[in-house]
Amino acid sequence: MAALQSLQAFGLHFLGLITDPVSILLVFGAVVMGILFGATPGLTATLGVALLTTLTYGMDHGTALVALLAIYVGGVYGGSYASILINIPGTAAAAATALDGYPLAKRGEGGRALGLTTTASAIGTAIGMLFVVALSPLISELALQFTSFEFFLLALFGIIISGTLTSPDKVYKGWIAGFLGLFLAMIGRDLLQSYPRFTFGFSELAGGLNVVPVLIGAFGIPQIISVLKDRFVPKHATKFDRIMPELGTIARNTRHIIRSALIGVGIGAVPGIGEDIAGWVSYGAAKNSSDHPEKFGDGAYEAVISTETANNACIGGAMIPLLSLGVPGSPPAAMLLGAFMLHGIAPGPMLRIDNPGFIEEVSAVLLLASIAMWVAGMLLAKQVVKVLRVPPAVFMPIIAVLSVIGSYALGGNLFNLYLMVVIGIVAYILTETGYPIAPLVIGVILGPMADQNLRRALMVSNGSFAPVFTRPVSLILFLVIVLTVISQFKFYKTAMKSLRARIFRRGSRQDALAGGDRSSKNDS
Amino acid sequence: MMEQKQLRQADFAMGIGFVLFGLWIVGQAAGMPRTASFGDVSNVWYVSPALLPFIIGGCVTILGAVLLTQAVISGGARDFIASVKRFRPKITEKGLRFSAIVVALIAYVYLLVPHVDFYVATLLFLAFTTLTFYFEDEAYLRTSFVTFLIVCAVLAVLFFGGLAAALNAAFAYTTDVIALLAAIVMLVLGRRAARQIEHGVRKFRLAALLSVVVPFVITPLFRFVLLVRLPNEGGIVDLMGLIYFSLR
Repeated sequence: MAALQSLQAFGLHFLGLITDPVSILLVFGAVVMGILFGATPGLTATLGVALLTTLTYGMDHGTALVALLAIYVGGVYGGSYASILINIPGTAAAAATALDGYPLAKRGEGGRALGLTTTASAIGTAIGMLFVVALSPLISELALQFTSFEFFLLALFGIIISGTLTSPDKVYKGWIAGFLGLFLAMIGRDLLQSYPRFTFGFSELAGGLNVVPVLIGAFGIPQIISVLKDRFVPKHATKFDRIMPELGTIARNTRHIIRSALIGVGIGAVPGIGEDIAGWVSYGAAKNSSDHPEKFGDGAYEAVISTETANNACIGGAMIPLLSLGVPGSPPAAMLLGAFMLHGIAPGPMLRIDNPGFIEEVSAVLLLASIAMWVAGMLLAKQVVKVLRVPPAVFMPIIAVLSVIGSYALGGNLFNLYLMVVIGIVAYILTETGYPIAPLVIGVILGPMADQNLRRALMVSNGSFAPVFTRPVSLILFLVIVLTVISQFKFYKTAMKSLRARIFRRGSRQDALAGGDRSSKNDS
Repeated sequence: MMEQKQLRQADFAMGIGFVLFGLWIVGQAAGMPRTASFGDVSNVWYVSPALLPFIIGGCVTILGAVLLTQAVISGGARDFIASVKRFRPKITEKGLRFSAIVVALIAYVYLLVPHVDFYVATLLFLAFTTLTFYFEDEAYLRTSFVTFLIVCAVLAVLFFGGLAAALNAAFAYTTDVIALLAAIVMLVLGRRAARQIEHGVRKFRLAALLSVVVPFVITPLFRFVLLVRLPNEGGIVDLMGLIYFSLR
C-alpha cells in the first residue's frame, strides 16, 4: 500500500514537472550547463552544483531542486565527451571511459561512442532513480528505529569508509582527512551546552562554519590552483560523425547495463564514495565477465557502456543515504546536502515526516533530468564539443569570481569569504600531498551528528558503551568499522593470507585423498 | 599529486605537523569543561563538550605518528632533511604561476573585495589573471606579476594605513578610481605585450573582453536579481543602481 502511494506521488510529481514549461526549460538549461561543466577538463560536477547552489538562494525549494539535480546529472554524463574525444577525462567519473572511448574515436567511431554513452548514462540515471524511490522510504523507516549510538556509529562509518576507499596514497591519509573534517565541524558553540569550542574569541565562529563556503573552498579553490598552475597544452578533439542512440548495441549489452547499474547504485550508497570509483569497478567487472576481455583498451563497446551506466547510476545510489540518513553518498551529494539545508530541508529519517513527498519529487526530477540529458546529448553534442577548445585560463578566473561571490552571498558575510580561501589553500596542500578531500567534507557534514549523538547516547546509558554490543545495528556498524580499520594492517593481511592458504591446502589435500581413494577403488 | 619520493618527504613534514596539531587539539580540549559546570549545567565526562575533540585530537596525533614513522622507515625523513640542506631558492615558471594565482586570490578576497567597488575589484582581478595565464608567456607572467604586486602594495598601504578613508572623504570614490586605473594599467600592459606573443592580439581581445563583460554581468545579477548586498558598493555599483532604478 505504501509502495503504491509512493508510486502515485512519484507519478503526480512527474506529471507536474512535464506539464510545467518553466520546469522543463529549467531542467534542459541546467542539464546543458552540467554537460558543459562535465565536458570541460578542470571543471567538475561538484563544482557545477556548488556554483549553482549560490544562484538558487532566491528560488523556492522545488525550483532549486530541479536545477541542482539536473546539473548533477548533466555534469556526470558530460565528462565522457572529453574522455572520448581528447583522451582527457572531463571529470574523474569519466576516467575509465577514456580507456576505450578514445580508441573508438580514433578509429572513426567517436559519434557511435558518444551515442552509446548518452543512452547508457540515461539508462543508468533512470535505474538509479528506481532504487531511490524503492529503497529510500524503507531505509528511512528503518532509520526511525535508530538510537543515538547508531547515528554516531553511522557518522563514524561514513568518515572511515570514505577515508579508506578514496585515499590515493596511504589509507591513513584518508582517515586523517576525515578527522580534520570532524575538527572543522567542532568549531563553534556546541549544540548541547552552547560551549564555544575553537572560536578564539571570533564571534563569527560562534555559529560554526557554514557548510557551503567550506565546500566551495574545498572543491573549488584546489581545482582553480591546480589547473592554472600548469601550462595548457591544446588537444584537438577527434572528429566524429552523427550521434545515434545505438539502441541495438545497448540491447545486446543488457547484462552489462544491469550489472553496472547495480554496481553504481551500490557504490553510490556507500558514504563519500563517488562516481569515479563506480566507473572503475564497473569497468573491471565488465572486463572480467566479457567474452572478449582482450578487446578492452582497444575500443570495446561494453566498456564504455558499463562505465557510463555505473557512474550515472551512482547518482541515484548517492541520493539513497542522503535522503534517508542525511549522509551524502558522493562529493556532489555532499554539496546537494548543503543546498538542501540552505532551503530549509533536512535530509534524514525525519524527511518523510517533515517533507512528505520529497523523495518522490527527487525521483521525478531525476527521471526528467535523465530524459533531458539524453535529448540534449543527442542534439547538442557537436556544439558542446566546442568547449573542449576553450583554454582553462579563460574560464578558471571566472570560476574563481563565482566561487568568491557565491560564498559571500550566503548571509552577506565577508567572514565566509575569508574562510573559503583558507580552507581552499589547505585543501590544495592536502590534495597535492596525497590526502583525499571527500572524507574531509564528509567529516565537516557529519561532525555535528557524531558529536551530539555520541554525547546523547552516553547520557542515556550513563556513560556505558554496552548498548553498542547489545543493539544489532550498532554492533554491525561497530564490527564493520573495526574490520575496515584492521583490514588495512599488515598483520591482518598476513593472517588472512595464511588462513586462506591453510584452507585451500586442506581442501586440495582432501581432494587429493578423495582422488586417491577413487583411483585405488578403480584399480581394485 | 606529487611523485612517490616527494610524497614520502612531504609525509615527514606533514607527520610532524599532524602530531603537533593533534596535541594542540588535545590541549585545547583539556581546557574545556569536563566535570565542572558550565552555564549551570553540571558536567559528567561523557556529556562534556571536550569529549569528541579529545577523540579527534588523539586520533590525529596517533595517525600523524604513524605517518611520521612510515616516512622515517621509507627514507622520506632522510630525503627531506637532505633536500632542506640542498635547498637553493630558484624561481621556476610553475612556481611563479602557482604564486601568481595564490597571490591573486588572496589579494582579491582580503584586499580588493572588502575595500573596492565590486565591479572594479573583479575587473582588476580578471585583467590580471586572464591575461597572465591565457598568454602562456613567462616574460609577461613576470612583468604582470610584479606590476600586480606593486598595485596590491599601494592599495594595501591606502586601505590599512588609513589613507583611503581620508581620500574618499575628500573626493568620493577616489580608491575606486585608483583601482580602476590599476586595472587599465594591467590591460595596457597586456596590449603592449600582445604584439610579441603568438596569437597575442587575438588572446588579448578575448581576455580584455571577458575582464570587462563578466563583472558587468555578475554584479547586477547578484545585486539586483538575487538581491545580495555586495561587499563594497562604490562608484560603478552605485551608477548601475541609478540606471536600474530609473529604468524600473
